[in-house]
Amino acid sequence: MKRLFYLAILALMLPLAAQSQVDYDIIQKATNKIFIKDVIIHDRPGSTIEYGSILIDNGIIKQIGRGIAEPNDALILEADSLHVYPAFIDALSHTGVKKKEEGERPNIKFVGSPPNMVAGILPHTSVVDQLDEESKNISSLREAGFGLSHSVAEGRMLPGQSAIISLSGKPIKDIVLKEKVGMYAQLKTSPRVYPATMIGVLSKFKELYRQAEGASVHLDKYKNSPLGMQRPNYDEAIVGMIPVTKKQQTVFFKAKSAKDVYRVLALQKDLGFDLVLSDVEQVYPVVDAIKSSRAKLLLSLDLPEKPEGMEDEEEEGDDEESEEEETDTDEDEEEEVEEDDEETMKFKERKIEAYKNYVSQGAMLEKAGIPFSFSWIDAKPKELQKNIQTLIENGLSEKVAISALTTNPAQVLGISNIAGTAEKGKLGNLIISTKPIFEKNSKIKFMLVDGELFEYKIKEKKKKSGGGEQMDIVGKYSYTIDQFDASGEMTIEKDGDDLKVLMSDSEDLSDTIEGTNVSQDGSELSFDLSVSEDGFTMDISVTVEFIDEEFEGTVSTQFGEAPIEGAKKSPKQ
Amino acid sequence: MKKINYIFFLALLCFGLQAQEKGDVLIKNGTVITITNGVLENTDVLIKNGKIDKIGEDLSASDITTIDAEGKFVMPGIIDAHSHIALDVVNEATSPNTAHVWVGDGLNPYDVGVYRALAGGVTISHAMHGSANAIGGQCETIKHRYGVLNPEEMRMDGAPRTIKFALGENPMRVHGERNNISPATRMGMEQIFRNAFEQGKAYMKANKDYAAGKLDVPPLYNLQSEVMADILKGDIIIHCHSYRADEIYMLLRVLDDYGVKKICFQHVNEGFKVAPELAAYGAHASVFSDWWAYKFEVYYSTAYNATILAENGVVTSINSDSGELIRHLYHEAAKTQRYGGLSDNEALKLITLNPAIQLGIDDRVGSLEEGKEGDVVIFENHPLSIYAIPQQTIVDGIVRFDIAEDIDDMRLDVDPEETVPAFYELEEHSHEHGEDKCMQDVYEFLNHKH
Repeated sequence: MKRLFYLAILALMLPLAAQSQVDYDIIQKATNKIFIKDVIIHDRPGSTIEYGSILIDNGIIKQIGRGIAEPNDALILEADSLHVYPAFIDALSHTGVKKKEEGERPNIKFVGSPPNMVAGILPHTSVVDQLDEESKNISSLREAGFGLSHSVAEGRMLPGQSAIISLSGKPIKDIVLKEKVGMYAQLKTSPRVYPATMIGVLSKFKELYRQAEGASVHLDKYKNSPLGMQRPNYDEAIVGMIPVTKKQQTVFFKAKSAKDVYRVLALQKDLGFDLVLSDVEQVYPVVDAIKSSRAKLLLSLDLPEKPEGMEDEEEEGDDEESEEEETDTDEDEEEEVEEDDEETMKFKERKIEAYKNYVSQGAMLEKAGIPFSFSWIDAKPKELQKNIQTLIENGLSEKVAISALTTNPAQVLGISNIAGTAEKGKLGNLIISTKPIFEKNSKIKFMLVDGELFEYKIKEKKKKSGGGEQMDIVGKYSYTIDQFDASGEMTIEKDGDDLKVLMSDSEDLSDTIEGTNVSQDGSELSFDLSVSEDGFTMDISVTVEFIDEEFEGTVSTQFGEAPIEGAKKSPKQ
Repeated sequence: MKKINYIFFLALLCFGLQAQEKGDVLIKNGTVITITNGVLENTDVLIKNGKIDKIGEDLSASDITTIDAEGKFVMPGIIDAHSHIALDVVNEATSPNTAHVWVGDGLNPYDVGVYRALAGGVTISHAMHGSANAIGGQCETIKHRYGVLNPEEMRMDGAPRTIKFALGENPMRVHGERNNISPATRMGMEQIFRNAFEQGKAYMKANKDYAAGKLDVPPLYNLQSEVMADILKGDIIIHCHSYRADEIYMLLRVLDDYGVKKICFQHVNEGFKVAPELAAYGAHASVFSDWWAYKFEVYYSTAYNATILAENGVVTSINSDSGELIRHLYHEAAKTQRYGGLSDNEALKLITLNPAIQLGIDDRVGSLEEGKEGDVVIFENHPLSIYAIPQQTIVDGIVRFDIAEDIDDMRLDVDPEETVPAFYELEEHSHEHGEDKCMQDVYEFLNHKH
């Protein structure tokens, strides 16, 4: 592999200038201004400005619209005919929060009255103290189109006060946009200490709330005339709840199931706090109740997996083929693969029916006229786009979907004056995508967050083989990397459930190095190589797509990238 | 056609019934067992807007669901004074006194156990906190309105508040053995009750002083003390898990000291030993027909327990404490005829009017009388016959169970990611331990001693 190493360095270091790519990083260091011209601006839900331009200065939109003169001191973004949206706002998640290490449990004598820390009753704390700008989900959420996150701490019943953070990846002091936005609450119990059950959580919440109401009266009285009065000396958690009882702080109450929604609504009715039903996964049975309660709603983007038996409906073409195949097989066998019995069939039918209810929830809420925003406590950033598309396929309009990602969360979080739409004076947090954002194969090319520009490589999609099924790519292949003038062998072997990739150079085919982080997604294979020579290590990552017995893709290193292609060797070779 | 029926019935359950809380129904020509007014042959029962409008012959009403009950037996809906169905949580086992929690916060209207209970003719159950603590949580009297989705709609509005107490081994094991705190003995148990009542008294006094202007600030709100005070005021009926005669008598003395009158002993397997004392105090008893010897403190009992208690003038009921027993409480009641020779009406009272009295709802349910609520069960064969089969169960004038429409899958909530259709092991695991449901949610506690 020695030769490959030197060739790669040679080939990639020299022609940097020759590459057509603009290095925005370098230019960005020289100016605070970014000019985006001739783009389709979806400035607010349901509105577009065709071929307009936007000037951002220091992260703020200075000008937006048509006929804006191109400044000579700005970074000019090559985004001709691309689509611009205000960056999405995540209405509730654990974005940027340090993973908590489960420490040794203190020995608690009276489990009925544990310390607040152990019980998870921390209304006096803030998520800001738990932020970590290195947190991976900041960058992955940004890649999914988000510019701001409403972040809440992980924890139990009352994990603390939330904050809005900017997904710019800057140091913590620069990413906190707004503190003490709301109080995060859950029906989550504390193992083996009070409240160890959901009914314990509800009773503790009621008690704490009433105590805070009393403490507030006492504190005020004492402030006015302390003479002769008992000194107020309250638990920090009680004092932490006072802003909630005074409706200075909204409670973002996580309620996943319909049952939990009813429970939280009953609690709210009892106590009277300002409520945002948060991260609700099961909305369909409670649409009317939510509507009449007038509580605000954050719908979870965590959708259930499609139950088996549903794919058939969509890919009818494939289905027919397989049916034909079945008729070819002999009759005995066919009887064995006979259909499910009636009970199993009904069971599956009900699962499909339930799934359909879940994916139609966006449409149901739209129809009922209930405004909502999206949250994703239990989802993954990578699924978000796909799941929004699923909701749209099931009847949610794109306009309402956009509102749920921009204007609605801005309103719920009280930041409508600075975010949610692309307009003059607001934050220049923008998505720049290749097509209208929810269109299939639409890709995000740039993200602008708090004046920082992020560029994403767009892989040209080749025709995929089969609906997401893993293609069989095991075998021996020859490869060439023209730019390096290199060639050799790539061997893919099965390694248990995983794949093993070995690369060698034509100079010595026996000198192989093994790929790491091997992953296959349908017809796409990616892996990393690490080549060390003279104390210098070069990390190479390879991504290739297979079409029949050939493949092509890119190898990228810290110096740049080059195309790679290859084909399967015939068994004789 | 079958499939259409199925879908229609489900849709009805999910949506139709929710909107309409109370129904109208006319039951024709049945043998009506009223409990309070004898057995009426060939009689009609007319339910209007959820209430019994008229009981008599040749009743008619237009535009109304009519059920032909000729040759069938019509009786008041069965009431179970001790159950744990429709609950997501049974035990908050973190303290010897958890008066502050309330199982009504954890109702689960989707529990298919409610439908099973309906299939056994049970229209009301007392959803109780478990017996892990000396003073457990507050309980909830629920109506079996299977099909409603909102937990709030399961409550029997206006039913008196109740609370669970527990004596003996369960609280001693959970708190004494596990955490090495009181109560570790039966003596400690008594002290828990006395301390809790003292706490309630002191809290009441502090609030009174504040109201009278003697204090500048009110005492810090304490939910547990609030509830203890409400018991002292007589606003809450105590339902106490108990087995041994000595500790039953101990609690009577404690309650007498604090002037607390409303008490119903549950299980009360040695109740027959203190039946006159119970009757004299006005205490009630809710028992199993013939279940004992599942742990040391309940080693000794008798199937004559219900009869002895009833004959001594104690308001007595037979309960299930089990998602299985609740399906045939009429058989359980019938056992008192084999062991004790109770009359039909006395036996049926044990599962209708008497549990209603114990829950403080006998002015509304428990017998078939004009003006009472339309909770009715129609039997094929006499309910005390071994051949008895409930045909229809009606709650507030709405048919919630009909044996002719009894489809296989009655679940109200389906998880699209569910992989196994049914998993009974966990649900029924209390029986593995040879225990009643009272200790649900507690085993995890006992397994983690450190």
